[in-house]
Amino acid sequence: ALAAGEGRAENGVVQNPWDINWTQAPGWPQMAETPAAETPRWAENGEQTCIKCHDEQRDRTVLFTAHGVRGDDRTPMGQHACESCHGASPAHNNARPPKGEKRPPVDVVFKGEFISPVEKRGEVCATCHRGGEHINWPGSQHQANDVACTDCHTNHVAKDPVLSKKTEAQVCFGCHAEQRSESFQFSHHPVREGKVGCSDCHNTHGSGGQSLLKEFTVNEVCYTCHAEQRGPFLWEHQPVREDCGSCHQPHGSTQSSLLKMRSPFLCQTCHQNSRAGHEGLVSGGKQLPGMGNPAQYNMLLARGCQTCHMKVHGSNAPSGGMLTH
Amino acid sequence: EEDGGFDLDGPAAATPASKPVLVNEAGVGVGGQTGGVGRFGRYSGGPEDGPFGSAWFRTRQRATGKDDGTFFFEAEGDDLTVGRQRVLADPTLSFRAGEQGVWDGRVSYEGIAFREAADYHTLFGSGGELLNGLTPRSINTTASNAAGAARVNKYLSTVDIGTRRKRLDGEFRLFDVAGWTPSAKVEHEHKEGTKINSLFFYNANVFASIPEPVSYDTDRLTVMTDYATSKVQARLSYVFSSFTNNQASFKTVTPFNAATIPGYQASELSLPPSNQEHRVKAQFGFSPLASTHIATNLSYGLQLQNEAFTGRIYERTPKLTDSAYDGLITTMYGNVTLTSRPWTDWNFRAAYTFDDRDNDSAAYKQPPPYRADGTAAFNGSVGVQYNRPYSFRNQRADLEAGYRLTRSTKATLDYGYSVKERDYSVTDRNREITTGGRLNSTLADGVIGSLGYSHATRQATEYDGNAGWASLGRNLTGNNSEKDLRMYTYAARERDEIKSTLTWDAGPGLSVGATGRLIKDEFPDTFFGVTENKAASIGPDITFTPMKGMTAHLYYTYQTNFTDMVVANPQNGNSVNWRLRNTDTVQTVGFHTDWQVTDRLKLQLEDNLSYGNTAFEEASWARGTGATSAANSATSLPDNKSIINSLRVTGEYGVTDNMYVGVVGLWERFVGEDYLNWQAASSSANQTGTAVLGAEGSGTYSAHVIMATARVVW
Repeated sequence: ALAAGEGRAENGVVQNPWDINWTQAPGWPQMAETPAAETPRWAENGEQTCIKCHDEQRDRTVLFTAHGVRGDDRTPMGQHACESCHGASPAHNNARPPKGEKRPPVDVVFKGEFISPVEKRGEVCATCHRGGEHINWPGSQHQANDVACTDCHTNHVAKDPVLSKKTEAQVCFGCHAEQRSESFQFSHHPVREGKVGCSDCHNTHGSGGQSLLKEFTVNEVCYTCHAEQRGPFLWEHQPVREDCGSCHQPHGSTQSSLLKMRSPFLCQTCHQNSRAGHEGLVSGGKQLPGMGNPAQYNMLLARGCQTCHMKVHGSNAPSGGMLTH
Repeated sequence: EEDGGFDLDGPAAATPASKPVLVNEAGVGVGGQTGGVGRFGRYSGGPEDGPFGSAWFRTRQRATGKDDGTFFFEAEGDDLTVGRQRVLADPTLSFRAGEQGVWDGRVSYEGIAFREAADYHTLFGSGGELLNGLTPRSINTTASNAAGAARVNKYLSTVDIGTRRKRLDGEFRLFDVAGWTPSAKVEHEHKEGTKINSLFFYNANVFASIPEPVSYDTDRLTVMTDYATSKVQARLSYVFSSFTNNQASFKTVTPFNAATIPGYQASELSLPPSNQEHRVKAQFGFSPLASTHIATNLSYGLQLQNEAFTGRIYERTPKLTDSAYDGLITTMYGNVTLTSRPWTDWNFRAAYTFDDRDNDSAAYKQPPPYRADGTAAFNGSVGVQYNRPYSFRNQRADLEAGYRLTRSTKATLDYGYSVKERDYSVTDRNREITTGGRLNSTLADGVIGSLGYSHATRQATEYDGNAGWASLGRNLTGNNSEKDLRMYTYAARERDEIKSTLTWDAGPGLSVGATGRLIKDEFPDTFFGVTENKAASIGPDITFTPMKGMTAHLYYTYQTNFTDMVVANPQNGNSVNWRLRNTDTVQTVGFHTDWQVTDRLKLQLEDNLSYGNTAFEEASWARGTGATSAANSATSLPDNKSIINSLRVTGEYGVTDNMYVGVVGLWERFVGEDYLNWQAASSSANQTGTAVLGAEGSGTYSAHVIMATARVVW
């Protein structure tokens, strides 16, 4: 056994413990390690080999994108051209099938009939796109549910739709039907209008917080655009400080201000009308104009409870203890 | 791909020069609109009818040759509209340039309009001035005073309510500086306009709708650096955010002639105070093995606010020891997640999260009476008031294990345990245990499904519904006591949730998907409050190719949310408890098709129809000793409905390979039935003048837009 901090000697060289694959030590079950790959046989003519057949504009558009910059050695075209992503594919390149038959697929297929396993597709992208906003990708909701990068991203176009606010939501709505439905409600963030994108709040590549949010907490996300609600306030409203989602439904609502329910009913989920003068909240039928006096129906109309308790996000007035000033 | 018989060793059949790829575009559109109202295009800022023009462009250049270097630039502009609003009011403009792998810089501008109401009724301007020559204390507020109502009507104005954001940001990044990627981003936003609010004058019976002024400046600086290797990744960042409200309060003099209040000078509403936040974040990723990843996310922040107190109703002499608030919140967040696939077919995930909000703000003791005029303390409160420094600590641990039963079937079990602790709250502690599992499987050739179930038990301790009142100096006893109140977000809860998905690749040109979700909440400790909550959604989604050149997409979504609550109304001698049942239902159906009619002609048709309904069922639930009367007999409120149908038709014809002309038509119909629409009447003839409500009126509209377009690509 090795002592803490001690490396295992191989060929006389003591290895750093972090570099040792402990799961290959005797006694461990079969590991999920990738077997050693054979030396790849790259096409000698790079992308020229591929565009002999794949010469449509949509195929070659990738040559004019960030992935196609040959002067940047980090990019696919700066390395092994198309095969940097699609894998060395001599069987595909050299095949001469009889007329009417298809060639064998390339090593990594991102869409269609011969699509490669999600792990394999993901590994291709992760070769370069790791760290930064991808730090939390392993184990994230999308990764755990077998979502591959190319399920959302399109590379063979001048502008990836998921990277544009105007079109991003349509990509997300492909799976997130509830959010699409909510976006059509009267009260919504301007996502359909292309002014706010899903990625303004969410980091789809993984998050250190809940719901793939860009910030670690719900409120920090909201404060990015709604810093006026951040406070601190002299008088606070506790659920507001804890989670904006206590009252708001960010993807769309049938109620104004993206509220989950309308006032006074939303407020009554926590506050009861035990105070004198508040009985008009529920005196059936009396709440509407012409049915009673304003002291009764003003609790149901306008902004409901917020007509008087208008500082629900907090008040900086000494006399605003009940969030009324 | 058939073998074309080409010579593998020969030269390429095509070169970029012979078949240029078209990545640049510029276009213009001219059109007209009829039927526009505030709610239509509420984010474009332009309800006005009439002609308009629009333009857009996207241009990019990139060196792609081996010896050409890596310089690139991109410039884009959208919504460059004239006619309906001022030029450059709501456009999106961005410019980006750099040397790929060396440096990258970008600047962007965006305008975002939001029109909250187009027919808002008020007596005030956003500066607090009385409109239409109305003089202070000139409206008689005697209940049901017809003269007062008439006077309100005479001076009432209908105004637009809305805001416009103008955002400008710039970002610069360097690559590979000793292995790191440092970057800096500066953002500035100015938000100007008004929003709906209301204001007290003397007491709860004398208030009116106002247009609250909005004049905000928000600045944000982010300095960040990234490091990434296959084994170790790091991101360190510092964020400074400053919010400045250019108007600290809304100040006005009452137009109502209520009883004379000694010392009354003006009424004041506090507006959001200027504040700042500093935050440092550190994120690390470490992959000791190819199959194991550890992610760590840490954050430490300070939220500061030191603005002068505002809205000191009736107070001529400050009663507090300070004239400004010394607000400080310290936030700490930590999350560690271990993800591993140590054995073939097994995967594990373990996570721990810590989220702390520590309120270090000044706490003030406000002895009664806290008005300087010597009259009775506000709303009868005669106790000592304290602003409690509310703090909380959340901790959560998650464990997940997945096993691939067969090549196409994977089972996952998960367990979560969370603790929430709060200071100065009605419920100081919640603990929740969540257990669940899901199954993902290929059910048949081309059919993939998933089914998940989870159960969560939330426990709560120390219910004290009077805690908030106590801090306000009130001693609630008897029928007014809320000590048994169970707040919805804090109450003990049993939650069951089922989620499922199904996708069927039914063959060439046809794929079918469906999602479903069901949540059921019960609150075992709750007598007064929410006793039951249910939410469900389901919907199919179909994509198909009905004919060559045409793709179509059809979807339908049904959502419902039901809440059942009991509301205490323990007025002495008239004790009636109420039961409120609220049901929201939303159904959305949509259709979208692309049809490439010929090589040159393309048509698009899109229609989305959404129907929303909110039902309010009110009933007397338990009656005390009070006699039955009209005031304590429940009648359900009318359902509220909203229907929106949006039809868009687009046709485009390619005149040449580089030039296209087209037509875009949009027809949108919104029907709203809402008892809030009755406000239109309430703020005019039926009003007594003591409570002037805003009144947005009916939102129903029918708008039409048609636009001819031309664009070139190169």
